[in-house]
Amino acid sequence: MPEGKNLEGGCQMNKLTLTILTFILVLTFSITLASADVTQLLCLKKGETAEFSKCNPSISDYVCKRTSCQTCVIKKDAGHYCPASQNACNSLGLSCSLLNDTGGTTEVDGDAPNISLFSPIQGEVYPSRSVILNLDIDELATVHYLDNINGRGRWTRVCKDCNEYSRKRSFNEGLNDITIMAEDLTGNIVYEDLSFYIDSKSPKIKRTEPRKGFASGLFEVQFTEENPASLILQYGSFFTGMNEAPLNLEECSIGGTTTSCSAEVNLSSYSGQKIQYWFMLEDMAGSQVISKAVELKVDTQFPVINSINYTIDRRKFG
Amino acid sequence: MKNLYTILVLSLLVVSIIPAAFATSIGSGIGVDIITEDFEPIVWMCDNRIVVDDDVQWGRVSKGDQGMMERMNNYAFEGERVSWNVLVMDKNGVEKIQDVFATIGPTQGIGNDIEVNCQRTTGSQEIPSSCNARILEEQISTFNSDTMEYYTCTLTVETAESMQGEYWVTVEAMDMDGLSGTMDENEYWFLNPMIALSIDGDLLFEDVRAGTSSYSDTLLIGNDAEPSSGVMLDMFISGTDFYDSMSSGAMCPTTNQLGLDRFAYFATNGAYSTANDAETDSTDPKPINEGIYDVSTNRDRDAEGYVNIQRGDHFDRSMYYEAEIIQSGFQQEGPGPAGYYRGNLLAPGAEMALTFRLDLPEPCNGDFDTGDIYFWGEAI
Repeated sequence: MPEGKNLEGGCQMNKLTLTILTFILVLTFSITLASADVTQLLCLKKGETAEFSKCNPSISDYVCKRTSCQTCVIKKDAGHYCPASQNACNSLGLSCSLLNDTGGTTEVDGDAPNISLFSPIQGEVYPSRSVILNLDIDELATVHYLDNINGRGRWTRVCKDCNEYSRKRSFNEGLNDITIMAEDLTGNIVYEDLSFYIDSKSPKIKRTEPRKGFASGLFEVQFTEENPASLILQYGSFFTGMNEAPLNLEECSIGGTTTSCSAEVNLSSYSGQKIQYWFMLEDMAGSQVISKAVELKVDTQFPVINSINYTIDRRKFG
Repeated sequence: MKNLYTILVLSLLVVSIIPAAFATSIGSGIGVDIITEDFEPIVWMCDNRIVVDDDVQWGRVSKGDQGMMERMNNYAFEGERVSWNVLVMDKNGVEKIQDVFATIGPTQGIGNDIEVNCQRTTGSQEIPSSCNARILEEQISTFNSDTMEYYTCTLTVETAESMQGEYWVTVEAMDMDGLSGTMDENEYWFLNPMIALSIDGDLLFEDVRAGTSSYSDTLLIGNDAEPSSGVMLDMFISGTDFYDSMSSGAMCPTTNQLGLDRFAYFATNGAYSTANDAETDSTDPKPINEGIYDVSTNRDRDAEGYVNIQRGDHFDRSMYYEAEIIQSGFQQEGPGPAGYYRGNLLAPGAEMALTFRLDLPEPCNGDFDTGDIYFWGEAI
């Protein structure tokens, strides 16, 4: 029986505790509801409006007409703002709060910014390492880019709290694979991938063959260029006319930094004449180089024995 | 028999006189009709109004719950109190004074909304000259408790939801006949004015070469409080160190931090500038200020007139005499903002121009985009 009494006493104790806790919870909840007004240091960007008229129709709305503005407000339970003394925010050591969807004209921004990228263009080849980075964003954002090839995870800042950017930036030679990131003021982020080429080095023709003597129709060229776009052999004479023969770059052989190509053309129409030839090389960035013109005689004819003069000095050999 | 004759003679005499008396009462008489003037109560303001702080965040001169000596213009914020001592007179007697109250409204004089009742108090028997008590040419110097009473009226500014904008404020007395009078000195107050700081321009240092000094574009820091509010702002500046938010391998010059001490600014405000900065840097124990606001940073003006920035990310009273934007034009005593730097005050619509200089150390690498320079404005 004593155990039963103890059990009953424990139940009563639990009920009492439960009642007290419930009372405290209700009281706390009530206090929370009653004190929902919050003092905020409202930071605005140019053009944003704090609609104080929702607090009191006799109060004019405050429109930020400068780059940025800050005003101390009391955010009411209903969501609208009422003006407060700047000193109230100072005393609380407040930092910036942004507009909400009821007290100002800016709605809660849950959308990532949109980037309109004008330069560099996807897949384009640029002849200089300095390329204009030109982009627009549909809202204020901080923009960074990451070099996915050589960046080692380091983001480079393009601009802060901007909605446009157009300045030259230096990129790496060759393929550039970058990711552009824009983060708006409320933390929404958008990424955009982009790849393009930089080919700032002009192509060089190191050697052509034949260099002197006769031309048989076989021509060779050696050049240095990482991104050749076209290679053309031009040959001919002023009397007979000029011809050109594009080379298939895929048939060229690469040895180190040097590429060797050859072309075989029919020079029969120039036989017996003097011709000039040169190679014209263009890279992906549009840079061209022309080799030195070489003058050669053309001899495509096999030698013909017209007559043989002979004398017999013996009848028998051996 | 002799007595009988005497009585008869006297009776005849009396009878002969009575008709004459009856004849007089028949003539026209003068009626007495005295109507006492319904005296319109008169209210005299004794001395001037006093503004008392709300004891939430008091200024550098007046402590909480004290009269704000620095409040020069007629504006007040929620919780602040405006008090008047008044002398009310009703020649019909003090018992006829029904109510004495402070009113606010769009017109001066009687009839505005009643905001607060005044409290009856005691005063000196000799009316203070500050009351300027007079009725036409008659100057009243002696207190008459039968017709006069002293009152104290304290108007506490309510929230902006019910009190915002410009109002005529006065004390009004009403008697039992419904007559009212107000003090002659109506006051025009801006209650709960909207205050804002505006910043025009960006603080941007681009492509700064390590080991060199760079100068920013000039920023404008403005008092964007409501026009005609008269709110004077006392301006302050503080900042933090700067960091590179990206994994960029920053170092400047020994770690991935660009110290605030690398920044300095030059500020001008009308005739005042940091070129004549007082370089006041209060040290502990601070007689007025409480708390410690980076006593390790000594305010310093260099040969160019550029001043270093105090370290801090919040406002507190220890910023006084240490983190003002311009310490120039110190006002020793009133009238006016005694204890303040005149060059550091901004009236509504006024701006001060700040140019920043960055002395980038060498070596230095990184994009230091995380960190802040704060501007603070305190309504005085």
